[in-house]
Amino acid sequence: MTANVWASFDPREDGGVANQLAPKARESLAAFASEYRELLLTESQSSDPGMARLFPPAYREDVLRNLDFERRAHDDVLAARLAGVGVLEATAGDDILTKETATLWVGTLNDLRLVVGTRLGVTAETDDETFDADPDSLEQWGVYTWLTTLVGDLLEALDPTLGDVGTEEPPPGEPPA
Amino acid sequence: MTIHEIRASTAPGVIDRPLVEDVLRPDFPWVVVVWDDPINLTSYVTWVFQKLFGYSRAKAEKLMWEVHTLGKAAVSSGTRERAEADVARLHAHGLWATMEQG
Repeated sequence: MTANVWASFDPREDGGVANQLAPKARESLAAFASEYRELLLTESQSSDPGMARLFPPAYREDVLRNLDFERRAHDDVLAARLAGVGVLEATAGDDILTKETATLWVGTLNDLRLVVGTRLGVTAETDDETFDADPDSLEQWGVYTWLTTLVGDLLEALDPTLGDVGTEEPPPGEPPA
Repeated sequence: MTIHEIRASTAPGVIDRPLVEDVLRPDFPWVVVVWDDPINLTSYVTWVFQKLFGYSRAKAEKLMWEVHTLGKAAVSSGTRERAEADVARLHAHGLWATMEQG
């Protein structure tokens, strides 16, 4: 492995992760966490597309069962998200993340990608030129791609072998990519 | 309710019993389906399958490819309660999961 000035996270022998992010990046993450908490506490699936993506229906064609499921499951899923947000906010400035903390970071950073990506309408075809004519969206795309890098790097710090997943064709006998 | 932190747990979640009973096909297991989406990373989806279901890397990666290339994959099955708990845990991890009766 070679030294990388852009490195964000490095694996530790104890299973934890070394946080190499610059101070400004850490502040950004804490601020994103705070904004995300606000979204979770003030918006709903019907008022915000990001929330609709985070809390999708469990039954595709059964409204009654979905209401029932939501009534029973929503608070727990929301509580799990809020717990992750709290951990990210509280530890964004830490140099060393335990495995448990880093694991919660992955989920929360991925949630942020889902919210930003859904609002932008990201598809498989979206690329760096898609938002060239729209400065606001371009800025959000910058946030999205940065979060994408962080999630990938953090996963790889937690488990270096994950870096190879998705880079090769499926093994023989599997459907072609 | 014992899901203190759904994300921190690898054990099956526990949620209340559904109100609506399975009157039509009570004996058929429910299947949990994960759908393809353009945002979740392949490595992330593989990691979630391993973390939530204890699947091997090979099985998790195979399911991830199935989602990615075919648009969806059946990732677990069981009673309605068990399937709902799996769907809730997958939702808590940002995966687009639904359930249907096999």
